[in-house]
Amino acid sequence: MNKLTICLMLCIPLLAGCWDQLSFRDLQVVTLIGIEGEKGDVTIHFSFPSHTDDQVEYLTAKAKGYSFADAKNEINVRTSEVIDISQLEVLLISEETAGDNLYDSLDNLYRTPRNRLTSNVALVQGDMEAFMTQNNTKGIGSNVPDFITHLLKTSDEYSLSVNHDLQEVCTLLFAEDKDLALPVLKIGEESGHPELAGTALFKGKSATGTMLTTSESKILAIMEQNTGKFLRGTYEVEVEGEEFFMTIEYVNGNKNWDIKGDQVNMSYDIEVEIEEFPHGAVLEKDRIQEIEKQLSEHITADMENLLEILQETGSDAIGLGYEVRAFHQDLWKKGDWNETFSELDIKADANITIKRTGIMN
Amino acid sequence: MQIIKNEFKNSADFIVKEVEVAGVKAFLCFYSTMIDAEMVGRQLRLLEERVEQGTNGWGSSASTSVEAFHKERLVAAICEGSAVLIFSESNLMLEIKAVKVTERSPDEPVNEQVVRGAHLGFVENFNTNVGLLRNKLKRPDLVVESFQMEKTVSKINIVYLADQAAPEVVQELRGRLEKIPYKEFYSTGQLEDYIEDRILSPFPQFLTTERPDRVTYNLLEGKIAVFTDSSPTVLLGPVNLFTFYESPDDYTSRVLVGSFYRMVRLLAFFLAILLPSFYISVMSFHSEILPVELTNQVKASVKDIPYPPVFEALLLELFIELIREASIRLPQPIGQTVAIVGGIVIGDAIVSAGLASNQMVIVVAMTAIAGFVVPSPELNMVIRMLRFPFMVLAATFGFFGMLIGTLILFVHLLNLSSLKQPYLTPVIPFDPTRFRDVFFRIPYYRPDRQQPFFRLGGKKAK
Repeated sequence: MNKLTICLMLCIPLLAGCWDQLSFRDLQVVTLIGIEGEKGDVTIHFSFPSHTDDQVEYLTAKAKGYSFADAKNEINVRTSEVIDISQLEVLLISEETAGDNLYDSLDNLYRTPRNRLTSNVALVQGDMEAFMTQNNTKGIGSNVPDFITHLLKTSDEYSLSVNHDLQEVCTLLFAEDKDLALPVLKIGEESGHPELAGTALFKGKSATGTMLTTSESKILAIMEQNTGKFLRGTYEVEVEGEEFFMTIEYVNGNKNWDIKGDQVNMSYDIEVEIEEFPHGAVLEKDRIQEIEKQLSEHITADMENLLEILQETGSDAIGLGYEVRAFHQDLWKKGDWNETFSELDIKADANITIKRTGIMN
Repeated sequence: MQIIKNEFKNSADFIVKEVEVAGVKAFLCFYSTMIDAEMVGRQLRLLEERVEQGTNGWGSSASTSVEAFHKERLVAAICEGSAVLIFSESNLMLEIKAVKVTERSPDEPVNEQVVRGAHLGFVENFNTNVGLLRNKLKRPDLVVESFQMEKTVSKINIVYLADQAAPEVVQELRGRLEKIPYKEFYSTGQLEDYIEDRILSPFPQFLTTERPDRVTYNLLEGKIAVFTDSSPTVLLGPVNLFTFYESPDDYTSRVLVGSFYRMVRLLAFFLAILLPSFYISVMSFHSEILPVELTNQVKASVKDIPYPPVFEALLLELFIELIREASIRLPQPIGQTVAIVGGIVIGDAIVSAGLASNQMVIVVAMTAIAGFVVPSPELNMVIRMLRFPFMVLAATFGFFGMLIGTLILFVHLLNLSSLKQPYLTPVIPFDPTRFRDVFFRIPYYRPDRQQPFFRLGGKKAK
């Protein structure tokens, strides 16, 4: 009995199948990947750290292939160690490639269990090579992957753009009731290093080519009720005949979507804090109401503008489809949601309340 | 006279003298090396006085006794260190217990020091040891039972509180002690082999200690203490795994502090067993779980190591074991030097020589420290030993191997018992009231929360 137990115990590990050792020493950790090209002719750029005498240098390599996986295997021809993308921080995809079918490029990443699904995904404008190698080392240092990761994190924190990790991207790509939106990077003309350009809208599995500016992205974040840590905007208000620029910070908000047939009324109650208001005191009730009214008008206008863009591109980045699918089956079953969304009559209405004025009132 | 001398093989320190006690001729025999001569002289004078006064039962007193002459009894008494008066005419013998005891003072044992609390330790004399206990536990249900091994002078004593200890456990231990065949014992370790449930298990099934306060609170919990005649080490049983993690410090320090450190110690148990294997697994199989920020540093330090992480770990663990073993054997001041040389100099040199990575040195050092956190030295050794199979499993199968190893470890712990009491109680079988006591040091003033060890175990045994 005892012998049998011992035998069984020793056999258990062997039952698990193939457990190949993958020594960390022999792996080349890749933290940034750039994909460009189209189906059948894909180019992948890899950026990885190289260690020479306590110095870390970031090298790049690129490979061509029929598909992502093909190119990925091709790269091993010219690197000394095995390329390992399980530590991937940022996945960059050129706008053109995303215009096709984004999932084509991502399938391999989801299929391998070792891969990280928390990497950031962003689209890029222009030449991919410029993003991978940074000559302007003074500006951002040589660690491009790290720079881009933090750039995306910051833009998410300040609600300048949306930020989805690889896992969420997959969910949204396949979701019928909400469309994906991804940040877009460009090489800044003045700075010469990667900067946030805006937010790309998707329809189905491919990018539409329409890009929201950062201020439009903020409105999207409010409407989606998915703001980052901070959301700040500056608006012009008129007080006692004088015009001021007022910066407000979003504190809290409630949405109330009213869907009747193909009439949608989106009303938002938004609480804000005053960040900057050079006029000085605001405490009088009348004045606050006046300012609130003006702000509400501005933001309502912004929202309607955003809705127009979204409906034009047929991309439901707000997630109205969730609500419709759950509670308004008749509307949902009308046909393809993206088309239905474009044809809806959507009205937005924002109601701003100033909750805090900072320590000055 | 010669007959008696022959019985003791004419040993030079065996002395037979013809003396006259109260007008009666007698032989006084003793080992001159064992008795307190002054004490014998005083007893003899007292005896004479009593005989002259015609006291009834003149031969019996606290340190003397009279019985009929019996050769085997004579030999045993003299071997125990008594002086014996033989009255050949009346065929009586009088035993004078006057052992000269060489005894050190009850100092605190070096390997079981506490910060606060009593600083007493057991000595090599059973009577003194029980004296120390009785000073702490002034109650009549503190029972001592002696087991005289046949033909041998080694005596085994068990001490327990009759009101606290479960009778069936006492009976179990009694049975095991009675089954021990003839042998001389040098250490409690040998005795342990006879009374353990499973000798081949790496886990100790008795708690050994040299501290009277530790024995005291364990007796109060219903445990039984096993003393041998000539050793300061006491075996305490039945124990569970968590007993080894309790330190007398817990109850001399404050509630929150005591609880915190008790949890730190339990954490150290897992750390000490699993940390090196975890590192090996990550390095050989699962590098994807490393935080991205860490990869550059780790990569830089492991890329020039010429062999797999498991050899690196085994090498360093071996170093640590050597340093530890060496510093125990060497005299105190040199021992510390070895520890410093070993720890700092070799640790630093081994990294610059490219034989091991920085991370591995940290891991091994952390593990070693976590291992020493265990208040009980014998469990400490077990934990250090258990690391090695885990490291091999991690090197061959990664996390999966560690999982299998942990599984086997827990299956074993669940099967283990100490004096037929489950080893993992109160976690399994679960006893909520005592369960808290494993992780927290419960305030002492709440008597309902002080649970005797046998609350559950006793019921189960029936």
